Formats: sequence, C-alpha cells, structure tokens
Amino acid sequence: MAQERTDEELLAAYQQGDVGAFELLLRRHRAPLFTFLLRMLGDREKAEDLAQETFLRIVKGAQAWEQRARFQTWLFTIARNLCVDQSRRDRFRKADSLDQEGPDDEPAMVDSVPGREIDPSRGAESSRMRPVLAKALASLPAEQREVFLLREQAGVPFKEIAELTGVNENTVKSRMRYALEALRKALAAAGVSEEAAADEPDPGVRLGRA
Amino acid sequence: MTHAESHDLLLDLAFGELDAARAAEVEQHVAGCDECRREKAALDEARRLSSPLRELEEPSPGFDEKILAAAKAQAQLTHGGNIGQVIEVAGSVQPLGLQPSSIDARAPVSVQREPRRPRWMLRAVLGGSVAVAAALALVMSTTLQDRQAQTQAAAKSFEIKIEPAKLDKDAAAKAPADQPVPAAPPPVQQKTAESHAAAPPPPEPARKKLAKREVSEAPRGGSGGDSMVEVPMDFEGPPAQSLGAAGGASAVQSGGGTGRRAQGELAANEVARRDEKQEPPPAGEKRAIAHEVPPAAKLAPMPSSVPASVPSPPPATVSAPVALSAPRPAAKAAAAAQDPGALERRAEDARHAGNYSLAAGLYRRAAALQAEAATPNAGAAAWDLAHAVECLAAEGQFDEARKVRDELVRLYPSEDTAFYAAQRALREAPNAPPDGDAVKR
Repeated sequence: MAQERTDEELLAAYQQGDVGAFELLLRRHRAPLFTFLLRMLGDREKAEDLAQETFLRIVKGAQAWEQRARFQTWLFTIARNLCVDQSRRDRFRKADSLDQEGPDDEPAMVDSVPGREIDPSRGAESSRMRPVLAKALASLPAEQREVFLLREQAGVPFKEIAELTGVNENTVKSRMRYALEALRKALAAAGVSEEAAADEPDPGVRLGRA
Repeated sequence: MTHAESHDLLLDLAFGELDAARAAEVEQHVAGCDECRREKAALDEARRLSSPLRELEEPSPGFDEKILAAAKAQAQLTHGGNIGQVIEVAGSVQPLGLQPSSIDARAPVSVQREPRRPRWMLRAVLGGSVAVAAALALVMSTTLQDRQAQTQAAAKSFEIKIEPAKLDKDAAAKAPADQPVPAAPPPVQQKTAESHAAAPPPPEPARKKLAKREVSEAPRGGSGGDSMVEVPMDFEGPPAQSLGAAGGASAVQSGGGTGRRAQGELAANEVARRDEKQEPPPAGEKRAIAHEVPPAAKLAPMPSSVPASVPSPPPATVSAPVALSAPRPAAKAAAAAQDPGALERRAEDARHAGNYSLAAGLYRRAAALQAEAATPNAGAAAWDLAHAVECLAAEGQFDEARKVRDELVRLYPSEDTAFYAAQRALREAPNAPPDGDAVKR
C-alpha cells in the first residue's frame, strides 16, 4: 500500500502543476482551518471567507514556497494573520459582545456559535457541554485561545506555534497552561464534572481528520 | 531529571511531543513527585473536558470550488496549460537549442540606449540632402528651359509664309512629281469651292508633313480643336488606329466618317516618324499647304461692295493648325465663312490658344463681313479691327498692327473705345509714341 504523501510532497507536486495534489491538501486541511477560524471569530460566514482567502493565498504563493517550514505552519500562519486583521476591523465596529444577551432572552451568541452542526450522535451529554465549552473558550484571552486551538484542535506543535505567533516556546506553553486551567475552572463552575466528560474520547486521539 | 525540568516537560508529555526516552524520564519523575503528578492530572482533566472543542466543523459544500478553480488557473498560468499529473522525464529536454530566458523582476531597470550619433554628422547629412535637392532642381529647370528653347527654335524654322494662291499652285505642281496618287480621291463636293477643285490633294508624304506641322504648332493642352481652320480635304486620312485618339485630341469626323482630323502629339509623332522614314524633306524646303487660310477667303471672295480701304486678309501663314480632316460639306464651310459671328468666335478661340496671327486674320475678315452686312455694324467691325491690332501686336507684327489701327481710325472714327483699345495694344511697340492718342484721328 502506498504511503500517504506528506503535505510538503503534495505542495511540491502542485508546484509542478499537479492540481490533484493541491486538491488533496485542500481536503486534508480545510476542516481544521475552518474550525480554527470559527472558534476564533465566532462567525461562520467570516470564518468561511477567511478560510477561502487563506487557501487562495496558498495558491498564489505556492510557486515561491520553499520547504523550510511545514505546510501546516504556513497555512495557519496565514490564517492567523487574516484573523488578527479581521479582529482589528471588528474592533472598530459596534459588534455585539459574545457575552451579551440577545433580544427576547435569546441565548448569547457565544452559546450558539459552536455545536450548531455538531453530529447529534455524539450524545446528549456532549451536546449539553458544547455551549458551555464554547462560552468558556470565548472567555479566554485571544492569545490563550489561539494557542489552545492551534495545539488542541489543529495539532500544531508548541515549537511551531512559537514560530507562528512570534513568541518563544515557553511563552506558548505558559499560555497553554493558563488556557487549560481556565477552561477547567469554567467547566467546573458550570457544573461539568469529569464524570460528565468521561464518555468523551481520549484527548490524545485527534478527531475528524479528513 | 530535576523537578523543574520535569515540570517544564509535563505539557509536552501530555500532548505527546516527547520522544519515548524523554517521555519515560518525565514519567519516572512524575511518579515520584506529588506536585508534578497533580499538575499532570489537572492537565489531563482539562483536556478531557475540552475534548468536544476538538470536533471539526465543515465549511459549506461550495467551499472548494472557488479555491480549486483558482488553483487550476494558477497552474495553467505557470505551466502553460499543461496541468495534471506530472510525469518526470529522465535527462533534460531543451527545445531546439533555445535557451530559457531568465527574468529577474526585481532587477534594477536599465534602459539601453542606442549610441547617439554626433551632431556634426546629422548636420552634414541634412546639408548634403539639401544640396542634392537643389542641384536636382537646377538641372531639371535647365533641361526644361533648353528643351523649350529648342522647341521654339524648331517651330520658327518651320514657319512658312506663302501666299495662298502660290500655295495652291505649288501643291498642284508638286503633286504629280512627288508621288502619284494611288487612288483617285473621291469627288469633292466643290460646287461652291472652286479653288479646291483646282487644287488636288497633296501627295501622301506632303500630307503627313502637314499633319506633323499642324499638330506641332497646334496649341498644347488638347484645347484648340475649335481654333483650327478646318479645311475641306479630299483624301481619306490615316486610319484612326494609327492616329490614336489620345493626347487630348479629338477626331472630328465628317463626310460619313471617312476623314479624320488629327490632333494631339501622339498622332503627330506617329505620322512624323513614318514621314521621316519614307521621305526626308529636302533641306530648306518650305512646304506649305493652303489650309491655314480661312476657307472663306477662297470660297467667298471679298465682294466688290466692300470699300477699297478694307484691308485684304493678311498673308497666309502655315503657322495655323492644319487639319488632316475629312472634307466638310462645302456649303457648311461656306456658310461658316460668311458668318461674322462664327468668325469672331473662332478668332477668339485662336487668340486664347495663342495663335495670334490666325486670330488677327479672322478678326479682320469678320470686320469686313460686319461692314458689308445688310445692316452694317460699325461698332462690331471696329472692335474686330481693334482685336486684330491686339493680336498682331501680341505677335510682334507692329507695322501690320499700325496699319490695321490706321484703318480702324479711318473707317470708324467715331468708335473711340475700340480705337483706344487698339492704341493700348501698340504702347509696347518699339518706337511707339508716348501718348497713345498721338495718332491723328
């Protein structure tokens, strides 16, 4: 059985004109990238626009890409920069806060962002936990949320997160510790015990890899 | 491994970023360290609790289309449309010795200028061009002037002045001597043209020379057909093909189309060429044909009722265009010759064409006809004489012009305007009195 080609091999093939290789890259990374952006921005439409823009920039810059860094690092670097720019633009708008209650006692936006399209087969407990988790994640400082998502959800190693965010590795690890501690406290405050999350899959197993 | 080192690596251990050996060292420390064990347990709990956040979200179904289209377009742009699976080829392929061009987009732009020519060279080239153009213009103008002078000299050398009566006699005498007429000319309608009956047509060479003379002296530019004196000819002219219809000449047909009047230089050159081949004219020979004389002079002699003072037509000259035309009906010619208005029009045409001698004769003939008309028109006759004076003066025949002027004064003393016109024409004459009115009236 042929070994699966790495991201870098696929991108090198696309540099030679192999569009199929790029399509494989797209299918492999579109969901993690979109999820990262969705968790960061809390807006599905914006997340999708930025995800498309990220891949378009990959297309434009593919010929100039040199294999000095992992493709994944390059991809999330672009996405993060776009996300930062978007956040700066949103900062000048009168955007509703994620914690602000909606009209007519509608749930807060942060409660509706994640888990809308989560597989219902995950179980009722998981569905009950997701809004709480989303709210706890949204309450994290952006730099902690960013590190958490990049490592926990996108699987980017700490060393590359350090390169990606422009800080040293120890700082990245510190942010990760703070993020995990804050999430644990937030979930405990929300009544989510470890027993409730016992049926969740093992954290070391990555899910949903396309 | 120290506690600090193990504490720093707990996170790496939790996320599986340590190699097996390093992970074993940390786990060994954690097993013996309560603080590190609690820390490790807290991390694992937080990860388990947040595991639902690791679930991935999928974008909308049309998410890939735009990106893939861009990827294909970029690949086509980069690889000239050869997209798809890449096939590696061993060795190098180089098309027909063409070297790939390398373009450095960031390289500094350098404008390659052509070596500038020295300014003195431009000036020299420009000056030379102007000098060459001036020399060419000078040569051309000199050549044209010489040719024009030669043409005028040649025309003067051929100018013949012969009395009409003598012309007829000469023609009659030479005709049998030169060449017998190959075919009997068709009978001429000469009931009214007595002189034509007495004068047989000139022989063929003579006719050709006549044609040459006529055309060479005819006014240039193709206008002048009307200024010619159309003389009834009793021979059939050269074929129309040989004469040609070009050169601004028009063939005037008469008498059922058997005759042609040659006009135009092309026809004349053709006739002259054939003439020179067959019979070169003897040196100094002055040939004349009585064709320039207005036919009316022969066909309708001056009636005796005309006052004796009315001058007779001037001596005929062959400078008038001679026609190789077919005979016109004599009656028509006679009628035209008797019409002073027609004569005046023809005289005017001749004058406009520069044929002043012919014009003067026609004006004088018209004046005579005006005077002998049933209702004499003194004014018109006086003006005809005045115009004759003008034409003679223009031709340089000042003595003859003075005679006509004197005649004008004598016959029509009351026609002051015509007299002054004649007098003005004589101002340029040599030995002319300073005052134009010096002539005794």
